[in-house]
Amino acid sequence: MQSSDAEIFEVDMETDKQSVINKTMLEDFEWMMNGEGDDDLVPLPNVNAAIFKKVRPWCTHHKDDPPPPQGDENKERGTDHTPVWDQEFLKVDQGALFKLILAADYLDFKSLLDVTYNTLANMIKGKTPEETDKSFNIKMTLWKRKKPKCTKRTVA
Amino acid sequence: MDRGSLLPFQLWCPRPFGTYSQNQPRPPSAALKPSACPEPGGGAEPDHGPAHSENTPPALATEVPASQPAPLLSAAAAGDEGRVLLDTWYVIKPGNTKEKVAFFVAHQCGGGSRASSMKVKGHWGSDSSKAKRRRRCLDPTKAPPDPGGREGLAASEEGPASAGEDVDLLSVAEMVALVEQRAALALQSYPRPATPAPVVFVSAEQGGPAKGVGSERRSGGGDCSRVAEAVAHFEAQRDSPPTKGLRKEERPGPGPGEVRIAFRISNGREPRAPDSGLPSGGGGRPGCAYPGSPGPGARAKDKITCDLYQLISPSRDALPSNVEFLLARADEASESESPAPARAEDTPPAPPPPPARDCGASGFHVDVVVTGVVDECIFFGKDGTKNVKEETVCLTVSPEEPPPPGQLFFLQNRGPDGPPEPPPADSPATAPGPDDAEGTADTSLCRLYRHVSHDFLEIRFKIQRLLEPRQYMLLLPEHVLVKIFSFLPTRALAALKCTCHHFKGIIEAFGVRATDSRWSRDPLYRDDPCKQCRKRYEKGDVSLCRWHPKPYHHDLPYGRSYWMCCRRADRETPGCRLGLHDNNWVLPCNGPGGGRAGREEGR
Repeated sequence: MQSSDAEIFEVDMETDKQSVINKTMLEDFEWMMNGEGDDDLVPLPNVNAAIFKKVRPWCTHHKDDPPPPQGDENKERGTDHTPVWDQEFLKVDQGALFKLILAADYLDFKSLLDVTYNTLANMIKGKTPEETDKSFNIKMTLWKRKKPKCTKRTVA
Repeated sequence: MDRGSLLPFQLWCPRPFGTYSQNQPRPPSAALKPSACPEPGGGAEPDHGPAHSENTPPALATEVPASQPAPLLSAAAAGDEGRVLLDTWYVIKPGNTKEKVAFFVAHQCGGGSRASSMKVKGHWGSDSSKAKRRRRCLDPTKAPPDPGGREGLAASEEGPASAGEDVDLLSVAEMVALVEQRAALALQSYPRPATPAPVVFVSAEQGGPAKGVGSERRSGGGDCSRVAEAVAHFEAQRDSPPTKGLRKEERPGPGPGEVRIAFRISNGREPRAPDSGLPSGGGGRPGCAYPGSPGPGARAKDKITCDLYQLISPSRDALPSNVEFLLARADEASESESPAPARAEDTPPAPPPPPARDCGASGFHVDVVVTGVVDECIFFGKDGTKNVKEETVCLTVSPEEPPPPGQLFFLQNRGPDGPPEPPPADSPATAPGPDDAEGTADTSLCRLYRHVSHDFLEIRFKIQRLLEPRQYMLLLPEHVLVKIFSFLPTRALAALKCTCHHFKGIIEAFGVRATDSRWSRDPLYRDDPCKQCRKRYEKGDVSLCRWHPKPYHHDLPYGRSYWMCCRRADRETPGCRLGLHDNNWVLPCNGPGGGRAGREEGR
């Protein structure tokens, strides 16, 4: 596979089948190639090399996991059931976390998506609007109070 | 200036200029004619011994350096008790300094009974009447009470001069001498700075009336000459007519806050002296803040070709025209090589000579000289004279020396040969000449632009934007945000709605439900109201329900009514119970077919 910054990665079919897109693309490429050559590259325009290198260990670790539950069952499970390994894996800065989310969304890694969504939701929980503004550098705020207008009172 | 002939007490400024308050008895050895106000009829020279005056600091009374020059700035700061007597320098107003300086210079050059010509008032004692008299003498509006002083003046070489003018002249001279005196004292107690403060320096070639004085002083002590030279130079600039080569913008006399920056452009084709001659040649400015400051005479004949305001313009359109203007001027200067007479009085007073570099080919060198009343914001043209001072700054840097602070990124790395030269004609691999000329022009322009550059401001703004934390949350796609928000409880979702318009819009548009929401998702019961507050569900509703768990009690007509849960009398009081909206009227799993099935049976 070739990342957005033109870096090429060798992938294992079994490991990367967790990604629906990867699985689909790999299957399509496998059908196209028919064993004639392995020079074709699977492009990943929305994933750069750094994030892909970060995602691959997670794929390797979770290659034998069952498919994630569908619907709201996963949400009802709550956000405190993230495995420890995943918690350690996602101890990254905000920029890397958001890039992981975007990469998982593009690659359609459902389990990685759930984990990253849980992580980000835990970051938002328990924060006031001011704290949320400060944490995520959001400048469009609704919570700012308007200064009371001073009304002039005329004394008769 | 011969310091030995000047006595501190003689030239001491009176009280109004900020002096010591206690009276100091005069030592008996001080046979003064502390000639501030010499005795009537006495044309004797003032005594050179030390004197204590009411306003003489004790240190000065005992330590009188005779011939030790003092740097301009360090004197005041070191010699005084925290007072910066150099401030008195700024008291000199351009309007009436010319006469004072002329008199002062005349005294210096006259020799002979210079002491008698000095406006040294009478020796100080405990007699306060003398102090009063002196103060009255100094006040030009009042009649001078001491006839002796006036006669001393009359005997001076300055010729007929009014009493007021003499008093003023003495004040100026006294201030100058005091500054120098204290500088010398400071040097005795403090290590001499390696480089003198580069506040004012005057080329030996500049300044008409002060030229002779400057040469004399330089022989005696370069630092002592700077003060008078600077004053004379400044006055010369203000009063001298526009000399040859000066543009009209170069005429001296900028008003307060007005900035005059002129620069000379040379194409660098003229031969120059080697660099070895620089340090000695540039004797007038050892304290230049920029290394490689020019020595005298290298390019003094270059004309002032442009005004900085014309070049540094906020509009980018001005840049190409200014570049062309500069280049054209440089070409004209080289083509019409008629060396102007290198006379001091004809050379432009403002720009100092450029660095003496060996440059055999064409180059583009710009010297920027700032004259006039300037402040720290000079290049931005700000009004404000809080730091009024005159400075002549040489901004040309020789390539061999390291760039001055703040100029690293504005100077090209040049080889030892000097400014970049156009490649020789027989070198096909090198770039053509015009490109190099443009490069040198760009370099010079970069130097000129180092203070005013909108490009720099824009780039800096962009870098700041890149360095500040990015708004990743706002960069996520909406479907990702919806999924993330669906993992949040009601309170967190309500806080998000209050955080940002974008989040509020997404929650309401997509109907994000909190994880702990009790709104029924069954479309059949979508319109069922909350069983507590009777509110109906709306898309994106994350509000909390407030209700009174117990009913409102109606008393008899003669009693009061109240909510039984919270005892509040007003029926419209908001609910005292806070919770989530719940439109599930029937508890689930109560009996067979409970929950929604029970509702079906009930119908």
